[in-house]
Amino acid sequence: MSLYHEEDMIDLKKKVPFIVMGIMGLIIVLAARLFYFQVMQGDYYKSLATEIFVREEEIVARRGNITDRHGKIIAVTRPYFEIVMIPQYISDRDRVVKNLCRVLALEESAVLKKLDEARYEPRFMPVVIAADVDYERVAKIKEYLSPDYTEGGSLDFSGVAVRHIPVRKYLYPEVFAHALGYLTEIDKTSFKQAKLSHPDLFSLGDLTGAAGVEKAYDLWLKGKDGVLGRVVNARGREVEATEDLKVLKQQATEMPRRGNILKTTLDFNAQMTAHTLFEGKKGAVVAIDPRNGEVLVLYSSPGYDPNRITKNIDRDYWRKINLDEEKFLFNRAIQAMYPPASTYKIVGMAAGVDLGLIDTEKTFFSCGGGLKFGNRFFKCWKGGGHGRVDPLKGLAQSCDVFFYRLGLKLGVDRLAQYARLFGFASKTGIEIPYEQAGLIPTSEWKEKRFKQKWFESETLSVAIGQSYDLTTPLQNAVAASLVANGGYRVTPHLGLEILSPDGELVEKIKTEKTRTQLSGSAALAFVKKGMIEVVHGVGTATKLKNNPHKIAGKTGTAQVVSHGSKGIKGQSREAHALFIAFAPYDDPQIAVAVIVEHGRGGSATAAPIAGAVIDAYFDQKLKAAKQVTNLTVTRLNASILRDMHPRSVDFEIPIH
Amino acid sequence: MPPFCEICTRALSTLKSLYIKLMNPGRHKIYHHSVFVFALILAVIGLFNLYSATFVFEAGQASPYFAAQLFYTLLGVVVMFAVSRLSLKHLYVWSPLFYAASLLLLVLVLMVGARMHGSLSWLDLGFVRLQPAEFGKVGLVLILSRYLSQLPSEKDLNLKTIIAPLILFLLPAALVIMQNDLGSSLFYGFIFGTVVFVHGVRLRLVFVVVVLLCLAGLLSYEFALKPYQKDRIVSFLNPEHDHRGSGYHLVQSKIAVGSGKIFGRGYLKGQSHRLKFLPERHTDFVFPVLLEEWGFAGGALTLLLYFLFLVSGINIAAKSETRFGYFIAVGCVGLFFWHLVINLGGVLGLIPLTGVTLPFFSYGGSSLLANWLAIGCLLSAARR
Repeated sequence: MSLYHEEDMIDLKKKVPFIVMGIMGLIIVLAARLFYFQVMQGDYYKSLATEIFVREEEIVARRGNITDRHGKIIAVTRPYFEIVMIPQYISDRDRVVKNLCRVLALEESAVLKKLDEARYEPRFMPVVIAADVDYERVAKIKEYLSPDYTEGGSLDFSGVAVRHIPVRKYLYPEVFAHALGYLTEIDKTSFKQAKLSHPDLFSLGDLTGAAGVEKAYDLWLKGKDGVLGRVVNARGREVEATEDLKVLKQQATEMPRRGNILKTTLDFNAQMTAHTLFEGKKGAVVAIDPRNGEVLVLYSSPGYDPNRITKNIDRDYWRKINLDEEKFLFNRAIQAMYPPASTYKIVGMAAGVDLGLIDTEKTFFSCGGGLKFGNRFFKCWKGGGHGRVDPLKGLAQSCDVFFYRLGLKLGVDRLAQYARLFGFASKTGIEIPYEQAGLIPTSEWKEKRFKQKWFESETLSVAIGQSYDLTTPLQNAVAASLVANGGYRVTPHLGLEILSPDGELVEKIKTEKTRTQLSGSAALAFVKKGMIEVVHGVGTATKLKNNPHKIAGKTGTAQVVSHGSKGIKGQSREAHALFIAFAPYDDPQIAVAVIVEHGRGGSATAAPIAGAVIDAYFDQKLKAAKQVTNLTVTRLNASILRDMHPRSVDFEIPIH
Repeated sequence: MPPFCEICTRALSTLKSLYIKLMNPGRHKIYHHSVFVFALILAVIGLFNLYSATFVFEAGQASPYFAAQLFYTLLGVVVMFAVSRLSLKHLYVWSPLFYAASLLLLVLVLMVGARMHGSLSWLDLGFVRLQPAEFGKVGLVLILSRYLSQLPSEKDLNLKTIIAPLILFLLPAALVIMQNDLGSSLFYGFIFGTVVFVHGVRLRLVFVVVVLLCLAGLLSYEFALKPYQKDRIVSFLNPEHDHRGSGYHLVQSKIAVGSGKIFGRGYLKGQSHRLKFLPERHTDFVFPVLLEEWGFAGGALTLLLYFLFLVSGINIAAKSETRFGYFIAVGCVGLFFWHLVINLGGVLGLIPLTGVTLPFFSYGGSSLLANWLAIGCLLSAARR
C-alpha cells in the first residue's frame, strides 16, 4: 500500500522548523497587537470605556406643511429653541446659573426657582430655563458649549444645553383653526394604541394631531424622528471626537425623516372671505364641490389661535377657549346641530314629487297665513298668507302652509326616509374627528325615546325643519350637493393630495360618490328648479340675482328654543339664519351651506355670505386658470420661435 | 479530611487507568499526550470565558449557551477518543468516504438548509442543527492528505498534479460560497494552501493559481457577493466608509480589548459585553471578552498555550513515519492555526472580519465537534 513511504520522509521533515517558525511568527504578531492595544493604548481605550458616553438625543422630525388646494401654505413648521439645564451634569449650581444669566440677561432668582421646582424630578431630566429663545441668544450659548472652550470659572456652563424642537406654526390661525385642528401631547391610551400599530413611530411626549386634518392625517404629516449621537464626557459636555468615537457617534445617529406635505381641498380665498364676513358673528360655512365631495370651505366662528395651545401653552388662553360659553373649540361646521328650518323643505318637496303625492303642474294648496290643526293654529311665516300656492311657488317663497299639508300627506316616517337619502341623520363620513350625526325623528324613534306615540301635529313642525329636526352645516352642504349633482351623495373630504417633502405626489386621496334612489329623478330636477326660482324668480333670496355665477339656493330661519325647556317656548332669542346654495346652476361646481347664529332671516344675513364665498371661489379659480394660460402661451411662443430658428444660438426668447 | 482525600486519590487513579486504557499509551509517545492536554486546558479556559461572555446579568445566571457548549465539549472528547483509536490505515481508507459525506451534507444544506444571519449554512435535523461547512474542513484535510501522500516524493506539484487537489478544494469551497458563508470558503483556501505548500509546489504555479483565484475573487465581489459581505470588506479597507456595520463592531471590539489593559477588569467584570455593546460576543467576538477581563497577561498566556498546542501537533508530524500521517498532522494543525489567526486578526483589526470562529472559545456545536474530530485524527496520526 502506498501509505508507507518511510524512506521518503526526509524532504517533509526538513520543513518542520520552518512551519514552527511560521506559527511562532504570526502568533508573535498577534501578541504584539495585543500589547499595542492593551499596554500602549490601554489608558486611551479605558477612558473611552469608562469616561466617555455616547448620548442619544432625539431629533424631532419636521411635521409636513399644510397647503390649500392651490398650494398656498397655511401651516408650517418653524424652529423653536429651548435652553435647558440638566441637574445631573451641573458642577456648581450657583456659578453656572450666574454665568447663564449674564449671557442671556435673565433673572437669577427666576432660574433658581425653576431649578428648585424640578428638584424632585429625576436628575437626568432637563429643566427648561428659557423657552422659544431667539437665534442670537442660542448662538451665544452654543459658542460657550463648543468643545474647544475650556471649562471652569466664569465660563462654566456645565449642564446647560440647547434643545431644538420644530414647532407647528399656523399662518392664519383664526381662519383655519377648525379645519386644521391643533397639536397636543399624545396621551397614554392613544400612545399605547399607536405603539401597537406603528411601533417605531411614536414616543411619549410626541405632539400629535388633536382635531381637524392634523388628527386625520397625523401619520402622513408626522414624519419619523431621528437620533443624534453625541460623544460626551461624564459632565455631559461634548468632547472632540477621535476616529474611533466618530464611528460610535455615527452608529448612534439616525437622520429624521420629514413629514409629508398635506394639500387640502380648502380654497384659501373662499375661506378667508367667510372669515372676514363672520367678523363678530357666530356660525359656520361649509362649501363642497358637488362633483367629488372636496371641501372648499370649512369655517366655524368663533375661531381660536392654535399657535397658543400647541407648544409653550398659554394657560389662561387655554382655559378661556375651553370654558368660555362662546365655545371656541367647538367646530360648528361639523359638531353643531341646528334645526335646518326651511332649507329642509327641499326634502319634503323631493319626497312629495317622487312618491307622486303632488303633481308639479296641477297640485296647489291655498295659504291664508296659517293652518288650523286640531285645536292649534300653525302659522305661516307670512302673516298675510301666500294665497294660491303651487309647488314651485311653495318652494320659492317657502310657504309653510304648503309644507304643512305636504307633510301631513307624507307622514313623518316617509319624510325621514327621504331625509336619509339626502344624508341627514347619519355622519357624512368626513375624515376629521368629532362629527355629529344630527337627528331626524321617526315615530319609532319617539316611541323609544319618549315611550310615546307620534302625534300628527308634530309632523307639521318636522316638515318645515323645526322641532326635533337637527342637522349640521356639513350635512346641509352635502344635501345641497346632492341637489346640484343630480342625486349623488358625496362623502366630503379635506385631503386632496399627499406630497413628499420635496413636493412629489405620494398619494391622491380617493373621492367617493354614492348613487341614491333620487339619482336622475324628476323629483330632484324639480327641486333644483325650485332652488333657482328662490334666487332668480319670485323667491326669498332674490338679493343674489345679480351675482354673476347664477346661484340657486334655499333660505331658512330657525327659531331658537332655549334648551332644557323641552319644546315649550322659553327664552327664545333671535332666530338663526340659514342658507344653502349651489352655483353655477347649469354646471354646479360649488355647494354652500351657511348658518349665522341669531342672524335673523336667512336671506338677510346668510345668503350674502354664501354669495361672497362663491364669488371668492370663482375669482381664485379664474386667477389660477389665467396664470396657467399665460404660462402656456409664453412657453408655446418660445417653442414656436425656437422651432423656427433651430440653429440660431444668439436668438433671444422674448420674456412676456 | 482523610476519607475525602482517599476518595480524591481513588478517583484520580481511576481516571488515570481509564485514560491509559483509552489512549493505549503503549503505542503512543509522550508528545501525543501534550496535544490532548493543551487542547483540554484551552477548552476549559474557553468554557469559563463563554460563561462570562453569555452571562445574563439581569437574571444573575448563565445562559443556555454555556450548558450546550459543555455538552458538545464532552461529546467532542468522546468523538476524539473514538477517532484516536482508529489506525492510520482506517483513516486512509475512509477519508474519501468522509469527504464525500461532507460534500453531500453541503449540497443538502443548499436544498433544505435553514437561514441564519444571512447565510444558509445550517442543516436542521430536528434534534440538532448541523453546520456541514465545519465538517467539510476536516474532510478536506483528510482527502488532500490522502492524495498528496500518493504522489512521489521530492517532486513539487506541477500543472498536472495540482489539478486534482485544486478540484478537491474548489468543490466544497464553491458549495460554501453558495451558502453565503464567505469566511468558511476562504478558510478552505487556507487549508488547501497550507497542505500544498508543505508538500512543495512550483513557484510559477503558485503565481498562476493566486492570480486566477484573485480574478475569481474580484469577479465574485462584483457579481456574486451580498451587500453585507461587500460591506465587511470595504469597511476593513476603509473604516470611515461604513457607519453602522462592521466598523462599529470593530471599534467596540477595540475598546473592550484596550480597556482590559495589563491585568484586565477581572472575571465576569467586563463592561462592554455586559452592556451588549460587543456584537456576536459568544461567537466571533468571544476573545475580546477574555482580553477585557484578563488583560494582556491573560491574552498572552492564552496565545502561549495555543502556540504550545500547535507545536505539539507539529511534533506529531515531525515524528510521523508515513507521509499520510504527516499531512494529516500538518493539515489539522493548519486548521486550528488559521482559525486562530483569522479570528484574532479580525477582531483586532488586522484583517477583515470574516465570521471565522475561534476553536475552543466560540460557541457552536458543529465547530466544536469538528475541532475534536481533528484532534482525534491528530492522535490517530501519532499511532504506529
